[in-house]
Amino acid sequence: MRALRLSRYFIWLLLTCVPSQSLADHRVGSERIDFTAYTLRQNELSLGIGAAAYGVSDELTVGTCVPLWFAFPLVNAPIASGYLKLRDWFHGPLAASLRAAVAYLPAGVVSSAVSDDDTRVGFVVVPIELSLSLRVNSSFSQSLQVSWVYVGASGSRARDERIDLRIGGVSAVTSLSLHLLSELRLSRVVAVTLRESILLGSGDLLVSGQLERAGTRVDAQLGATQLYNGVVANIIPGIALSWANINVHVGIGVGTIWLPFLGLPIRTITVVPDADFYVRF
Amino acid sequence: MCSSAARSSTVTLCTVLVYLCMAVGCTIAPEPPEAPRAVLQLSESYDQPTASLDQSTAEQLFDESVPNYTELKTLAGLSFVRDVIARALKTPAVDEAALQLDVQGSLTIHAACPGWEPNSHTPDPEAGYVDFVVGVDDSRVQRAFAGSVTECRFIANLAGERAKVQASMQLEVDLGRHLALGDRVPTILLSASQLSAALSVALSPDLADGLWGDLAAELAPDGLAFDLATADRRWSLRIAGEDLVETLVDLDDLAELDVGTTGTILLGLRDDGTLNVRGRDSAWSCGSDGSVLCVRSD
Repeated sequence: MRALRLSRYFIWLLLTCVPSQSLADHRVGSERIDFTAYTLRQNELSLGIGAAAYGVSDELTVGTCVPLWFAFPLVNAPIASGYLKLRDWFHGPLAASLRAAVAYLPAGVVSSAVSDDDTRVGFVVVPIELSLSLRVNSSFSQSLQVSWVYVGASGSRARDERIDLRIGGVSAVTSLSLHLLSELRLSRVVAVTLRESILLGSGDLLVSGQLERAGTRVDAQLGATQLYNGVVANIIPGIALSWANINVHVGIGVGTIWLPFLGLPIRTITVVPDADFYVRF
Repeated sequence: MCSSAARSSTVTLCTVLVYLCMAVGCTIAPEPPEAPRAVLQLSESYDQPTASLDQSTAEQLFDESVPNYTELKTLAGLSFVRDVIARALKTPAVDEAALQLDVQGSLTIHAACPGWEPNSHTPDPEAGYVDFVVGVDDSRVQRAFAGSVTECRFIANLAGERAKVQASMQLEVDLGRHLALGDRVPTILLSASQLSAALSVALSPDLADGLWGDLAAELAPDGLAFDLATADRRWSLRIAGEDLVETLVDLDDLAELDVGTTGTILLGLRDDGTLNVRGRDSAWSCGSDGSVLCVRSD
């Protein structure tokens, strides 16, 4: 009974607390910036487990994908990433934005933890997003985002005394996805969300490679078609909690998982978890 | 003002969106090269020789088709091509059901010829090379493809002697079936055209006399040298196993033999010198000990 009372009290707190000087999401001008057309306010900083961003102006936000910088132990090189997000300057009920990002790993030597010392791997990812967000009223917002992603990779392995085999090549793939985000604000702290993603199309996976073994060289120009069959989509109901500076998004849905930052869906239908945590100040 | 600007922004966004949609197609899988059809038809002919043979006909063919026998031995030197293709297409086996992809495109193969000293550890820089462009479609290596042999040096076995061959030709290849990733390269059929070759062999003129039919032969300091240029004739060879090479013979080309039947036969040569003769409804194995005795082998 005591636990039940505590739970009720906690929920009541969540639904009713109104922090002063709040920078929380659920106020006009402080909306979440992922899957929407919104940007940070000038000089506002957002630090989270997924991304770090800074508002250069009310219309321009720059940011980076945080986890990629911590991939260093795996690939022996930093994976640089960054993005620019530019939104319209009208600040009306309808917002529009364009976000261009890049993640780049130079073709450095991959750590011996994943391969031998003669293997070199590099890649570049370029996601471009067009977003529209409409604040229908003070409680409800609807966002639409179209994202196009180019993923290119290159790799090589030199011949050595152990294996008479030399491999090198590059690959590339593109995809176009539509993401929808509905936000229903129940209070200044709590909003329920519904996020849907659907793959509109994908290019073929291209592989251009060269293999040399025992004096025989093979140049391959190959492409993989039908990367995805049928409808590729997911739907994730969730909840967004926003206090003075702390923001938490959690949700769980079903469908296809879109790989973070790469923007490419995997081909398995599964339970799709969604979580984010960030601080804005 | 605001409404007009918003409309303008929307139009701009839609325009960019259209370009983005077009951009999705920017990674399009390459088309596989067109497969040569002639070699496919030839492969069917290899599988279905049309001449009707009895023992006496088989023995007559074995006894008198020496020019083909010699050509076959010479072309058998090209059997290294099978090793080149097998090496190039060697991949780990892939479960196609798990792959769930349609792979297409082309594989360009470039390899040095074995040279006249194939067991040497030092590659011969003048050994020449072979090139093929192999198609891949529906995740399978296409059975028929084309290529060329350029100034290619290899060894042929002529009457127990090592003949040095340097040849250039256009080749069409049939693997007999499309290959899944990881499949072993089976029988291969080679169809050669625009052949030009030079052969030299340390062979006595007496033995060489009569072996080469219409081929021009001349004495060379170290034996016999032959120049062969047949721009208007197509030669073919099927490497049916480690020790068996076959060639298709149209009996109309052997009209002077007067074997009393028409159609095509398949001549097969084994490493032990045994010659196989196969017709529409029978196969014969003929000894290499000088006798012309053939026994039915089907």
